[in-house]
Amino acid sequence: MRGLLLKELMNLKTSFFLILIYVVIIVLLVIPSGIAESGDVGTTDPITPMQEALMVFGVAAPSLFIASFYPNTILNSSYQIDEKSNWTPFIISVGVRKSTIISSKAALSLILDVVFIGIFIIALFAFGDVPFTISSFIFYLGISLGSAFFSQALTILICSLWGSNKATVLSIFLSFLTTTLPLVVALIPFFVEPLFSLLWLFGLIDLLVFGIILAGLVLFITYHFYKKRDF
Amino acid sequence: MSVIEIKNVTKKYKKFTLNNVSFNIEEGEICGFIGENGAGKSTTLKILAGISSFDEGEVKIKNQYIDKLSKLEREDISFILDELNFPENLKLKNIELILRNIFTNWEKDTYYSLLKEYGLDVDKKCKELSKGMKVKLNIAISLSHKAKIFILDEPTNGLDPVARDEILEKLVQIANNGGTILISSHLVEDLERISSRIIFIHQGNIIINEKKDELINSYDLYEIKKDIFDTLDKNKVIKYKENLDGSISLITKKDSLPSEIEGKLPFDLTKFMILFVRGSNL
Repeated sequence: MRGLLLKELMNLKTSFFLILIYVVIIVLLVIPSGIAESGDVGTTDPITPMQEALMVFGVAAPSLFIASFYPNTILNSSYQIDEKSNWTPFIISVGVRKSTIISSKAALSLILDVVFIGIFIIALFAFGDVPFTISSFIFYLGISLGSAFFSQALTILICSLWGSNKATVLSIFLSFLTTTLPLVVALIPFFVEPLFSLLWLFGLIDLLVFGIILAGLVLFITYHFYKKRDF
Repeated sequence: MSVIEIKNVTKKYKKFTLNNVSFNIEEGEICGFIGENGAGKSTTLKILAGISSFDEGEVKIKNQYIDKLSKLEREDISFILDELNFPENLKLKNIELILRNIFTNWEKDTYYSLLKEYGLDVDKKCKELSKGMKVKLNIAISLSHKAKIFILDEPTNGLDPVARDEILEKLVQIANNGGTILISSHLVEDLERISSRIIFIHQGNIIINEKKDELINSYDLYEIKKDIFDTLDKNKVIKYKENLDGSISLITKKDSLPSEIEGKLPFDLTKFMILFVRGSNL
């Protein structure tokens, strides 16, 4: 798998500046949440902590979408490069297992998530003016990773079984879906006051349900059907 | 010893079936695999390379079932296309970095010395290579992971005669050093030049599987006038085809026609293949 991952990282080198632009956009999208938190929203009514948190959260959501969407586009383009160059038939012919190929894509998405979600989290607490507490950190990290892992697992499934063109068509919808579902779960404590103190738990639930269980299930299905695929 | 054994292999598609394909290739043989477009050449080669599955039959490489080969045993096989299998922006030296982490038997020094011998610059990107350079690079990669079995799918297509000559010479060298080669090509004259065995596939069926010398000694080709053709014993004609100028081209078993019949041609694999596919039975 080392060789496969090395190839992926070498491909990333060619999209370095594009990645840099993505990072800047993520940060720029987070900044308005800091403005919202500081109260410059044109209202004189006192804002409850829950409303405040909801505002920040709502503004951070687009940035979360982007942090999930961009790794998908990079993952998709890695599949496009493979398809264009007939890389996959070559490595299968020399004995690399199909499961290893899927694992290398999963490893690539993990690396991308560490970068993009890492930047999102840092930007959120640095510029979004979200107070850094263990609870809020776990909350945002849980949603982000849960959403990202689930999203990339679906991208790997579609690209591996039906090709990168289908994934390109579906990528925006997929990213929207895989950001929205975890967010809906994570929003529950905002509407049920007693649960607000358990915000961190809902972040963990997101990570567990979407990022581990569902993403794992999707990857398992991918392994199962990819084994039977001809090239 | 048979290095490649393919026995009664069948693969069904919606509109095409590879039907009971069987042949063996001995160690050190160069086997030319010919057939018209869509005959099943690439399908057969992909099955041998382990890229495609099959519905029935057996495929063995060095007496081992193909699905039971270990990774190390698979590295003995090299599947070479006329295109490169690497992202176009990769440099040749980066390819080495990747492949040394994929192949167990990778020899870095062999790779670089072959690149030098073939005139390939290590700082060149894949997209900057010509077609002939790509094939040479594929051969260099195969030799660097010590492949012993080479499966080539139309490697000389689109190459100029000089590049083709170079590639064919390299393949002969590989066979002389103990390699086994199965090569498909539309350039039948190339296969006729280097192959010791010819396998001819037509509409998913193996029609001919013979050593080249035996093939040449088994059939005669003729081009005769129609009025002479009409006088022939039709049982002796395997295939015939009417040409645009009114003459008849035909295949017969060796020396089956009377020696006084004029129009016998030197054996030509291309003509033979065309007649077999486009010709009619009587």
